Amino acid sequence: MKRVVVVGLVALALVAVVVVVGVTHPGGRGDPSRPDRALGPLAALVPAANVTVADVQGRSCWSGATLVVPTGGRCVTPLPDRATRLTICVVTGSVQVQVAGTSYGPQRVQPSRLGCTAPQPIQLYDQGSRLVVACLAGSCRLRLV
Amino acid sequence: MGLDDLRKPFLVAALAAVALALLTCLGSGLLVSTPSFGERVSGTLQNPAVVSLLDTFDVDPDDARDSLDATRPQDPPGLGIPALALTEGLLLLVLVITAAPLLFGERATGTVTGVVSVVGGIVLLFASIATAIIAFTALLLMVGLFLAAPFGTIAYLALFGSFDTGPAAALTSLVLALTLGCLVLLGVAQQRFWTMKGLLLLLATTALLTFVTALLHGLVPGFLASITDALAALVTAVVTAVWALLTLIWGIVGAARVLQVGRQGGAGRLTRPDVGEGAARERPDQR
Repeated sequence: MKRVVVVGLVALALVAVVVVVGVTHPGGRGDPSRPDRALGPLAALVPAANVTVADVQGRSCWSGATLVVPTGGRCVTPLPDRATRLTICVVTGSVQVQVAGTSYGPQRVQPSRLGCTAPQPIQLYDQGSRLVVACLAGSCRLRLV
Repeated sequence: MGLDDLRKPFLVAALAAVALALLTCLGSGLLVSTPSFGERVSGTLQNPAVVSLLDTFDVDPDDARDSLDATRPQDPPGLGIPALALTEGLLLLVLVITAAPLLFGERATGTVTGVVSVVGGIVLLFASIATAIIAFTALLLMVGLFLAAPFGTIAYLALFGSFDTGPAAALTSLVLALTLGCLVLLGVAQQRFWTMKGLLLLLATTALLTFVTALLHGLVPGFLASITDALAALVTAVVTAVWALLTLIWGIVGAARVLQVGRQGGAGRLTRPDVGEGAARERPDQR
């Protein structure tokens, strides 16, 4: 019977640890503004794949790695579901760039992030994502990086 | 009544404790509430960390709101505690197989337990594999979404960032208490249950998985709890699949022995290996 008491006490201690952890760590803390740091090694789970020239070959408005949109026009490019990143930069013209999929809302990319000196990648996370480029002024030419 | 006599009420109470733990896991979805999607969107956009994130990525807050408004609403998947039902179910199956001959007699249960073990093992094996696939898919989806700053991150925070860790901690504490209570009750019912290494190992595994699930919920910031919850479900499902496979093998061996005895004339008592133990000689009533 002594063993039963010892096991019972150990069991109580374990339950107490779980209760204390649950009470002292309520949700909502932490900093989500640096997702890569917050997740640590789990971040390595997600494979990274860029959109390549082969992915846009033969699509309307595309010629090799260059996308040309007439003034006042709009070009829609379907993106492969396996791709997780798209890096494009604006060579000439004033454009409005948006990526939209089926489950999540559209992401409107600020032109300041599309400069050709240091283009920032657009993260792709939705199924059936499409790149929508509207040319607002000038001769719009973009390049896939 | 001697120290080694079987105390049936405690054995029945041990079974009831595991059954209650199983029902708690299965019903956890009914006990945890999530705020409406609209409230979660407002909360996300007012979060200072999100404001800082949008500022870093030069995103107009109106664009962020438009993006969230067009997002298809979903709730945090909450897979960790329901997945514990797999291991609690397996523990209940093994306990029933072990206890049935003691409660109802070997002759009445001998032929049935092998079949129950095989069928239960198959069902739990497939359920565990399916749960593992669902948990892994959810884990990849949420990690990918969270890392896709800034729009993916805010979508993650609005959809899955509000995992309610308070009720989850209460539920895991209850399940852990019931599982460990079962261990104590088995010892009170008859101390020789504690010499069954396989049963003890399965009980310890169940308690450990519950403990790990609770820690994964509690040790990370609340907005990451949905991700660690899916990770907990994945670990539970994989471990339970291995146990279910072992149970299935033991069940097949037991059923084969029963068939062999039947072909030889079926004289005398039927014997079969204990699930989780491997030998009938270690059953308490046979000592």
